[in-house]
Amino acid sequence: MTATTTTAFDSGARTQNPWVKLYILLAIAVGLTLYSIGVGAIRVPVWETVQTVFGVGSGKFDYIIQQYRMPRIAMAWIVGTGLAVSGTMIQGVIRNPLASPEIIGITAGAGLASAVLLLGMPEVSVQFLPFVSFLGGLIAAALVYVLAFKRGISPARLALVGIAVSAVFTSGIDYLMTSFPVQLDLALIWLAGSLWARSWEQCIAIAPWILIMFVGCLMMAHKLDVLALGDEQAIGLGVRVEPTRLLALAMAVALAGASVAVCGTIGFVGLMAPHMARRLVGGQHHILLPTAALVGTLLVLIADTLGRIISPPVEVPAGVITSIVGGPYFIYLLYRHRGW
Amino acid sequence: MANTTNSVSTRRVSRRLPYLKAFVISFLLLIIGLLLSTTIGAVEGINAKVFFLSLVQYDGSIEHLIMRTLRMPRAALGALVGANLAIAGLLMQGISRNPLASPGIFGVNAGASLFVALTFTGVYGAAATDASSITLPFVGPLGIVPVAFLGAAFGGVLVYFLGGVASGRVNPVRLVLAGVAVSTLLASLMKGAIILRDDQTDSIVFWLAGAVDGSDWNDVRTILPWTIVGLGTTVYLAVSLNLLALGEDVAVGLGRNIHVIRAIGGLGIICVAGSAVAVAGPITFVGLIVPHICRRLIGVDHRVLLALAPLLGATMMVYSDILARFIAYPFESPAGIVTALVGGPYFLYLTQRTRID
Repeated sequence: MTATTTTAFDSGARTQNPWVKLYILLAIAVGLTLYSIGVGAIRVPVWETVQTVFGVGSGKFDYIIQQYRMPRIAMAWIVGTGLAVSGTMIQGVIRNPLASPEIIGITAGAGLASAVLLLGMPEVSVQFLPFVSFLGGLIAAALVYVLAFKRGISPARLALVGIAVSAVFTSGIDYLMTSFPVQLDLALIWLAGSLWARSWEQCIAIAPWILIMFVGCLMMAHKLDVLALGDEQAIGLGVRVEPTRLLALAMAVALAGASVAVCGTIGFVGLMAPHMARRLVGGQHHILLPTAALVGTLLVLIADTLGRIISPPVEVPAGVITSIVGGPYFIYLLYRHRGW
Repeated sequence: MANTTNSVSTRRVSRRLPYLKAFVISFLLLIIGLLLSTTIGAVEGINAKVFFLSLVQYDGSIEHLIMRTLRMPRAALGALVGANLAIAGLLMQGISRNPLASPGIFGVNAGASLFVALTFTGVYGAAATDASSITLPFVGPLGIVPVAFLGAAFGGVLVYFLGGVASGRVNPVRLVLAGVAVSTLLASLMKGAIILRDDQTDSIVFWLAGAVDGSDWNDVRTILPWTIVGLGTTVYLAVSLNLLALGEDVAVGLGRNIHVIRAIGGLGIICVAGSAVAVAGPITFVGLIVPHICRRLIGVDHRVLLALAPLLGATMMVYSDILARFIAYPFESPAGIVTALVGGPYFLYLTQRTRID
């Protein structure tokens, strides 16, 4: 435990087999998924839920489960994975425990680009959404990176510049929301990050994108491990540092961008999930990435489920709940971080 | 020795003119801004002549009515809100000796908005007097202001302690990050409260971006006393802040009580920032950048800054409100969008200049 005070990255308990933990997480996530499909304004018994999901139920709940709840739960998996893996990649590459898609401006950039597309050009197909939000996130991230670069990237400067760039992009989102006030549901989603009323169409538009990027990240796992040793060691071990870093960041932008495009800002998931996953299974990316994905999924699922339970039929957006948990967690990280 | 006093005195002499120049220019800019603000709008035929005539010989015509009940309070409110935010920023930067301090970044705005929103949505304490009041959010402003003060104090104190100001040796960046985290947290709570009472989301979205349109003389009356309180606080603290700028130990050595300075300043900040949020919503970056611009113009003496900062804050807010009308003409956009668009880049510039590492 003494070593953990110096770096936030190495607090993994490795006495147990990490794969066992991964499977336990998976089991919890699947169980929670089934439970989550059952709860809401209309309660469905668990067994009935399982039957309906597999298409052999009584048919009473077919519509509500298959058209309303299943897409949003699927979306929780997709978005949770996207944000968490994105955060893991960013923290791994920048070696900054405070980095996350929100902090480095990706979320705001992707949000603005998606808002432009959804509110300003509603005639364009939703299929283009991941690509457009990727572009927005890329522009914001590049801007932050360039502005924060001053003989290397210091964690503090990165965070400050990210905050400033995010503020500008967010005011753009504000402008669009107040100028096109007819799409209230979209505004709500941008305001707080919500899985409300997500459809299969949006799931299908986003899922392949996230899946491909996730596999890509897994293929880079080994290089990321080497990179974590420090630039000089990585070069010594034959990794081309800058191309690897840029590729990893591009993937992080794509993952976060796509997630933000469909669900708005579900705050702090990209920050919390990697830290929690690292505590569970340690810092090796081939196991860390899937664990982070599951932790992210769990966070979003729990937040979404809670949001529906608190005061039905009104829903508290998932992003509100993750921020209420994530804000204090971020402050806790701030305290532990000694690198000032 | 003679040399140094000489150079000091020449510097003082050479500053006199810039002081005057800075004040005259900002004052003229503000007057022009107020004129523009009252004459630009969707209704044709309202010009500077109407402005003066409605003041000296009010004839009850539609033009005069619009001028006196819509345009003038709006311009006046914008100016007062800007002045308040600038005072808040000046006090915060002075007290915390942190160039990045401002009500938007340090959770004061977020705290005040949270409490105001909780009141309006009736989640907290006494429910809003009228559920529809959110469409014109501050028709019952008297109850709102104390609530906003409480919220401002809540957010500010939270950041103050979490950022480690209380324990001394504070890192500016850490303070900013703590502020952002607390702001996000409070904003999320507020969104949750709003969404639980989701019938008024439309106007809340607008209010949250920070706007002074749709205001009346009541709002002006609500905020004006607190502007005066804020000004009084800065006047009272000006010399102490000058000493504090030399270092905490210097200020203590010269007989100042740091805790008293901080407490009085904190109360002043709560009054000005809280009342500004109560009438106009959380407007960002005015409180951050105006003190910096003032310091560039006339130096670091708080006795002069305390007069120029409110003036420039008012000017910035009035012009932001004017620009906001053109963003999506003839529809209104919140002025907070403009201040963020201008202030964000300036904040970036500050982060480039601030020694961080």
